[in-house]
Amino acid sequence: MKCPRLRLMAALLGASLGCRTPPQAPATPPTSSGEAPPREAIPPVAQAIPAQQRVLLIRHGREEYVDAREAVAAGFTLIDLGDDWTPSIFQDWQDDQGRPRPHRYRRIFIGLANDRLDDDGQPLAPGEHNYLELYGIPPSLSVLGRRFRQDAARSCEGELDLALLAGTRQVRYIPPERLPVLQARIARLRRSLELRRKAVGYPDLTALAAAEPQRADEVAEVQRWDAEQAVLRMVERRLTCEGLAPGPGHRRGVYDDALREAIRRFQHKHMIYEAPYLRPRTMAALGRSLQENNYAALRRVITERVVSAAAILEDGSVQEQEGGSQGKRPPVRNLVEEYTDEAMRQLGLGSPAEALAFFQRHPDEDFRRLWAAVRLPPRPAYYSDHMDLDIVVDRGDVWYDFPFDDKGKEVPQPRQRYPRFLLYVRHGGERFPLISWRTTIGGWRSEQAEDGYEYYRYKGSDVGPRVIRTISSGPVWIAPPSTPIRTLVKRRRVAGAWQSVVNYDELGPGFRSAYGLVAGYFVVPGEHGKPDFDNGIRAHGSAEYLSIDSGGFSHGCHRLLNHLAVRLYSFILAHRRMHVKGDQPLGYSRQFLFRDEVYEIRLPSRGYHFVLDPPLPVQVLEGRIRGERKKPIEEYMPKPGVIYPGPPPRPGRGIEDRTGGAAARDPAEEAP
Amino acid sequence: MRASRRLGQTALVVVGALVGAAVASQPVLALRPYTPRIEAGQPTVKLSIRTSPRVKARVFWGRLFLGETPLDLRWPRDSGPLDVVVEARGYLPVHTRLYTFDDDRLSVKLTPEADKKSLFGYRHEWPADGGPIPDGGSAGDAGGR
Repeated sequence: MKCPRLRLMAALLGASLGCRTPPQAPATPPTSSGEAPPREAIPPVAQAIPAQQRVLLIRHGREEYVDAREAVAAGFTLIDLGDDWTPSIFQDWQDDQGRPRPHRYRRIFIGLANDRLDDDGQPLAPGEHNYLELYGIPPSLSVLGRRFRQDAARSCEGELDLALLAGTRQVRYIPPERLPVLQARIARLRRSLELRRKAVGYPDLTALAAAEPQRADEVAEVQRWDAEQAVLRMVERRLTCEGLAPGPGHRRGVYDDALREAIRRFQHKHMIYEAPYLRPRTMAALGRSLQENNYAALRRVITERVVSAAAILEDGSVQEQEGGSQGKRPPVRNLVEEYTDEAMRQLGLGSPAEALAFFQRHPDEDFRRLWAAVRLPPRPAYYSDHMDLDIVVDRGDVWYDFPFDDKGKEVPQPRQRYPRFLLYVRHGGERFPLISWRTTIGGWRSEQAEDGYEYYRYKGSDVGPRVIRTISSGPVWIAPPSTPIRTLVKRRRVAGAWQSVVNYDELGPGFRSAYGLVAGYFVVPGEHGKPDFDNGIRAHGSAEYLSIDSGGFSHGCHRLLNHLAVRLYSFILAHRRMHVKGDQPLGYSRQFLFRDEVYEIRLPSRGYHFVLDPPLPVQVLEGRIRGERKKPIEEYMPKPGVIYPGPPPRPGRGIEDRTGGAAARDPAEEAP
Repeated sequence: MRASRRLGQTALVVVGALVGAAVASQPVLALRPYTPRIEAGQPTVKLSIRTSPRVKARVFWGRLFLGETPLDLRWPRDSGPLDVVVEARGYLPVHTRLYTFDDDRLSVKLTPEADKKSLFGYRHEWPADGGPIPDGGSAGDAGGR
């Protein structure tokens, strides 16, 4: 037995609940390959159902509560809308012997989703919000309900020109220190153009530019400035209306750090993958009404609940990547979209107005425990409890050359093909991908050498066959000695005072951890009783979300967007045989010196582990090697412009030090 | 010295203007250690802090003085980690962490100020004619693996 935490529905449904089924999803959709067809209807409920036994069902536009067992028997999937939902990887499971294996990060995940705790698990300050969708933690339904109700009560929205914002593709960023010079230039141009306009009697500057083309550029510059200023002022009002006004120090109409911080908060709240500037995705979201954006957030939240309940993964990324062509076989369905559409429709959440009405009917306390029954289409025939899955990582274009010339000037290393992460399934004599996502490979990174100085080192991504045997949820990254010390210390408020502390954000467990919310460990399986060879490469969620889609590099690992990593490993655990190992005690500590004070890293756990049995095959493709070097440089390279006390020391050879060090070499040669 | 400066700041918080500047030189025992409020029936954990070598060291949590080593605390369970600073005269201050998900025993290794060269992260001496010491880092490469 390795059932996850048996809660409400598990106890309720008893034997009908399979061990592999997470408690929030006691009934997953049937497959299209011959499971018993569901009954057509749920018998009417004659009397009140105990709260722990009832699920919400919307029939003919009317909400009613029905018996969960009847809903399951009728072929409905139960979606957990409660505030204590987590993805299955953060549930409290049982091991093979039926012993409970509580998950230490579960409490924090729920606290973060409900705006009750901060990332250290301590109470969140009143009025603070965790906007963590970009980090893989969606808000709870009660948090969303408050957003809907509060925004419905705001009167400021009527004063906004949303069309102006929606019609603006982006606003140029001018660093505040350059602003006075530009303002002076615009004022000068405006005076000169106005003098000319009045002299010749044109009604406005546009007419002047049309009549005197030699002045068109100057007119355009002034008009662009005016348009940007108008947009900036509207952005300020839009953010303020939403309760995200720029903080202290902001100067009205200035694109300063305070405004950028407010933009960043807005992006985090609305899950916008963009740098904190007024760029297209951000402008599009600013141009939508508050409730439209809330509705988009609700759809994202429902998506994660549905994906979790139905244990699906296919999100249309294969079609996007391949343009719909997958050979002779029909394209893989976009189950994520299909099921979400269906759930939203059946839950009566078809528009922002309907969603607001839903949250007006359901106050926060309803979400302490709320399950809903929806009838989802059958899953494809290739679904089963133990699917024939494998992973392929295509490294895309790879450069091994040192990216600086002899004079220390950076040498461009352009890539046409970027790394991709694919999960394949084999079924009925065919093998085809279910997802195809952007990922990262390693590159040149800063490392701390034993002489106390930083050097560049190539941190490559291994090539060849691997397996994932261990999946770690809430993983902990053990920072090797080569980690630049400046990244291991940060300032934070502790018990009312600012204090320097070890930067546990990076170490984990946590959404900002170097390994994200969940990681799969790539290893070469040991043979003849020997242990696996671990070169430190993982495929993991990442808080460095902009590095994934924008062509950034890792230290050798394959980064995934955190919410996708959560989906991926939840899916794998639902559809492969595995053992629950639970929390892995570690007892690790090490000290280092920083600015004449000692910092001690203490890591009590490695994370919560699941072991796949058999392990999941992985193939890392070499990709296309560009440039002159065909093998990576394994030594430290001095940083341009830095004067060192002597020749670089040799890099360390520990597991974490090696991360990616054996790139493009047959790892079997190094296997113990 | 950092330790005495911190001691002075904390003492001032406790006794305020009554004692004024003289407080900075008061012995640490004059400080009243902070103890968390624990509700009746609230689950707690035991936190123990020792040092190696065994010396009297002061333990601070933010601006709050927790006590002197050897120190045993009763703390609310699952109330989040405590980032503490352990300070002893003649030794480098140590920033470390206690966990509250279970009982936690912390043994802090103290390094004499004169031995800081033995610690990882100590920068080797710069040659006399080596020019200015650069920062050595490049922005933006910290983060995920």
